[in-house]
Amino acid sequence: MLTHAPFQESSAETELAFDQTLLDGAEPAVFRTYRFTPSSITVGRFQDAAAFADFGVPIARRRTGGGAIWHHDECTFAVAGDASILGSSTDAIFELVHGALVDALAELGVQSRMIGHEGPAPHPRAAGIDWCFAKACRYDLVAPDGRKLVGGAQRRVRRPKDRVLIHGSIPFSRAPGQDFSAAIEDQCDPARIREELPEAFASQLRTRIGPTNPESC
Amino acid sequence: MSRPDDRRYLKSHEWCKNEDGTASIGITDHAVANLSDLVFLDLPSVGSAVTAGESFGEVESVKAVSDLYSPVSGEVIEVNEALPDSLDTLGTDAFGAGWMIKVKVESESPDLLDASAYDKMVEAEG
Repeated sequence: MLTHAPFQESSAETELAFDQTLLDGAEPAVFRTYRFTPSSITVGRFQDAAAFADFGVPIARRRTGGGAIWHHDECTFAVAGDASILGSSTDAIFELVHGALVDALAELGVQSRMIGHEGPAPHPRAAGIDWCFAKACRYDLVAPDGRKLVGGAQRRVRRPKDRVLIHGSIPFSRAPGQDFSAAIEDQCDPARIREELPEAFASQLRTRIGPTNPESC
Repeated sequence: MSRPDDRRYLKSHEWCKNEDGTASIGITDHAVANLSDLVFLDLPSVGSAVTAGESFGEVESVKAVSDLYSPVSGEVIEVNEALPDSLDTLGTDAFGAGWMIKVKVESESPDLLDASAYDKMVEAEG
């Protein structure tokens, strides 16, 4: 069974460390939403954090891949668990989690679509300022106008157990200067989505994951 | 598919070819396929120590970072410096030109599988 962990709100460093504890933990599958307070920038595992110093907000490094995200006014989510439950490949894990999110958003009146495997491949990390939301590639969620609505990234460990973490960002409104990004406020009242999305997302994940048997994991 | 039987494998999909105390190490075709598009590879430097069963590097694919686990303990004596800039090589020749590091072996992981056992494990994964 999917565990729906309580909402948390604290610094980016603290919340990213908590995501790591979920990856290192033993829950077969766990989902949570959280918020970075104060507003912060996270950079991907191999990005140059110094390039983002002039934005004047705290910067934290993720252990997942992808580009930088300015977590301003958003729903941040994480799913962690055994790869035997969440998917054996990078693609399968994105399809499960982002597929659930597309359906959860649709239930609440937010239109999006997941770019399929035929979509653009991820670009190599550019030096300097390289924002996650500036370019959509395969398995990202885009709004009807083509702008990116959800960015997610993964970390996979194989030992001592084969486990995966996927976390992502769903902007309610745009961070400063992020006009290239889509946002929930383009389509709906963010206050309603903020309240209803976590359970709708959890419900869609439960539908896809199904009952899990810890004995077999 | 049958993988080369001149080397052994970890369940985490690394291969290891030990010749006269020097192990060439890389990742299997199955690992490359499951990771999808590779965009970044971080390898240790010559002279660093690696430990059997522990991470020796990281690879980033579609916004996913995965650890690379060492099949042996020892000192890194050579690194495939060209590989991070030619990651397509892993898709075309994971067992040859896609080698990642060479290690002067002090000890091997007790968990190494032969090719037949690794093939069966991958088949069972589906």
